[in-house]
Amino acid sequence: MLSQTSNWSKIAGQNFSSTYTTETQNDLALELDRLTCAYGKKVVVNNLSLHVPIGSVYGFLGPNGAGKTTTIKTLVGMRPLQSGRATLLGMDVATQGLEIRQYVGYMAETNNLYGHMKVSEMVEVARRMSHRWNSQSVNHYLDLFQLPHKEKIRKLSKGMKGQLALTLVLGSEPDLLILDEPTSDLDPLKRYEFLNQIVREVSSAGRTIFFSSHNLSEVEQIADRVAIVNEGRLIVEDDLDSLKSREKAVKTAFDRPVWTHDLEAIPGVRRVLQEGRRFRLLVRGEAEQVVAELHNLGASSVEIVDMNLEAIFVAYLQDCQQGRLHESLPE
Amino acid sequence: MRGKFYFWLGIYAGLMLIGLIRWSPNQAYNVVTTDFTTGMEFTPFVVPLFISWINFSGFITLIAALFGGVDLVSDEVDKNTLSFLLTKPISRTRIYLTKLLLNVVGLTLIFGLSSGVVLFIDQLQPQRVNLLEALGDMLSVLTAAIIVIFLSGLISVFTRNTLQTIAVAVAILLGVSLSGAFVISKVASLLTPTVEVGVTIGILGAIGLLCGLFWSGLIAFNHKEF
Repeated sequence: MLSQTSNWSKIAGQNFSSTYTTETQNDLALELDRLTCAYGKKVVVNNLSLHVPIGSVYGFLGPNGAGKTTTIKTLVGMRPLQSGRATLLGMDVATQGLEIRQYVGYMAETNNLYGHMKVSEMVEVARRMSHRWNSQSVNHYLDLFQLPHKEKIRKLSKGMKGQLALTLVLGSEPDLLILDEPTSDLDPLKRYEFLNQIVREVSSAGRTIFFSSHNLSEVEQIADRVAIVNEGRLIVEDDLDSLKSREKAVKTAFDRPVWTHDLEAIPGVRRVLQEGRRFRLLVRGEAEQVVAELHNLGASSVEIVDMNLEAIFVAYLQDCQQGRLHESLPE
Repeated sequence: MRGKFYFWLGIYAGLMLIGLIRWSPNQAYNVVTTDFTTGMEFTPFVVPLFISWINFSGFITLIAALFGGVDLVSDEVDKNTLSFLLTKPISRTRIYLTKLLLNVVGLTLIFGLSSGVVLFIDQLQPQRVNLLEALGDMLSVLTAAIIVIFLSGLISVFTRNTLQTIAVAVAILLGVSLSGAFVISKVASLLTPTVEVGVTIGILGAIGLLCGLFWSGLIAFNHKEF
């Protein structure tokens, strides 16, 4: 009798887990499975796996040359898929590129609009090339960004070109927006407007935004999930909130002299930074245990502080450079 | 694209004007000249207007074709606008075909129109060209021009900007035509083929070249990383 119950629970559990996995797969707007890209023999993207939930704002972070743009170019059909799988909105990049581009909007890192055209001509060209088109929203954004209809595009400022590109991308009503460094050309004020616009768009229509950036403070403002890549490899992918709750810094001071390696030996401590007589410990996971351990060592003051995304990013990259990647991979 | 069309339209209009002023009407026809050595009177042979026109406009057409094809792809790579096209829901085949077609149609239109006008005026002259011969001349110039468009289009898939494409295309065209002339002169002297055989070989070669360049350009564009 007892064994039968456990059998039942087993079966129920299996059922549950199987439905759960299919559901999570359906809930992904973008899924990369061991994507690998190379220029000749130089591997630029190495076994990259990403999971972007539908409706999320996803920050794709990494230093210059990390392979962000190459990844994005593969997704939007500018480079052929070399190895691995990429699924956008449930469609395979390798075979359904044309269909994918009907529902995916892409904004390039640098201006890719035709300079000799007027704004209104460019809008018309984009309309003809798009699968869906919302001229109401396009007119709305043209007015909002105060883009002159009659002006030639090459006479617009960098920021205006970016805003026009975004207007055109939004005009095609994409379910997934892929933005490559969308704000790199903008001044701070414009950047703020731009970010607000993106967030409003997403929240209104349940669209997904996947954007690459190395401006971490701006990612922190708008992203709800981030991935950090370095040299083509994924270092961490997580929700921003859980990343921030997991990564903490502990500030501490001792009345007596302490060896740094004593502090490094505390489980959970990843790095010890000495700031005069004070120490700053970077901690992953159980900050409370580290605090208790520090009290045991006789610390005179202990304080847990939050880390901002930039500090977390730097910590991960330093881990990576010191070859401690295998330790720092979560789960 | 439209600017380029008007540019070449202007060039051809100018050429036509110069040609008409220079060679029309062929007044020499009515002039009776005396040969001093024999003392006999004769009317000198005058080259028909259309032949003069084809001779220099054919050369210009090849140059126009070269300039038409060279910025098929590489110009957009240079200006970064290709990423705008490639990421829209349009197949690469369609993009390449549309670009080729625009160039071919544009050049055919300009060349056909101006040659038609010249041919019409030529037919009003006392000494005129055979109509069938004229059409054959136009067709061969156009075929050569389309081959040049396809070739420079194919090259522009691989190069990074227009200047590079022009350099490579000119080098290839010069190399091919020089070595081709050499080979043909050797082969012709060996085989001494009849005119019919020569024409057939020429036509077949042109068709083969057209198809080969067209397909290789299309396939290269479809598989290139940008």
